[in-house]
Amino acid sequence: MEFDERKFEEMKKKMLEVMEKAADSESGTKKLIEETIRELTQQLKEAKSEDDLEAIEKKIEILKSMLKTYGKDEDDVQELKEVMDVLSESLPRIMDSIFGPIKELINEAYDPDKAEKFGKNVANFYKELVAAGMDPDKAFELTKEYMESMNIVKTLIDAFMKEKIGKMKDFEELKKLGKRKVSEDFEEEL
Amino acid sequence: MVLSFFRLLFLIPKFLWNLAGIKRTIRRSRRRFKKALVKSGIPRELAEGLAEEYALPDEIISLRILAKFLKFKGT
Repeated sequence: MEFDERKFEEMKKKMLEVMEKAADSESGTKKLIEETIRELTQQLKEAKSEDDLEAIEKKIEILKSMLKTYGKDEDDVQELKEVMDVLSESLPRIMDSIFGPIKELINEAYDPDKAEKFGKNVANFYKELVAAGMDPDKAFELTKEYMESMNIVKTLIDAFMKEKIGKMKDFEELKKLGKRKVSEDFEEEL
Repeated sequence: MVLSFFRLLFLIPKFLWNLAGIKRTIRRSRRRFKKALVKSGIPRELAEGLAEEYALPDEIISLRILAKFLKFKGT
């Protein structure tokens, strides 16, 4: 019995192809591995010289290294699977726990019926100020202030966003300044 | 794994739907507020200004601002 390298290379190729498709047909890979092991055992039984044994040992070594790589890939896939499972289970819950209270708060603060009542109150306030002889512009400003004091949710969100967006703008300007300075230094060096 | 991926992918439209719901509530409320002002005899221009003051601006609840905010937080 001779070590037919070409035949073995074909077999190796076939095995690698099957391993690549492992995600789809795990049982196919297992079958092929079992078949190869059976074949090698048969060859071991039929081996007549030391050369034959050496050739078979070589085959076994290659098969071992291939199985090791396959095992590692399988572990990575398993890990990714677990991470995806955990994410897909917990992320919706996290999102619901964030959006639920926000939605409730907005629904409460911006209820259309309440908005209508509030509109009537604001209109009365403005009309009373104007009727008392106040300048319409001044009355408008005062009405705005009155609205701000009544609409706490909006005031809070506005203050929060203004602070954050202000910081963001400062940060953008800092970045631009940094870039400008670097380009100026570069020009000076030139 | 494919199922988990699709579940995660499904979160995007859900998130957008929630955002749209919040916007819809605010806009509806702003319309009712403005209508009440106009009905009570406030000039339309003033009512417009007060309605703008009443509701949260649309720019605050937008994907662009959220994305910018997340980017800023990440740095």
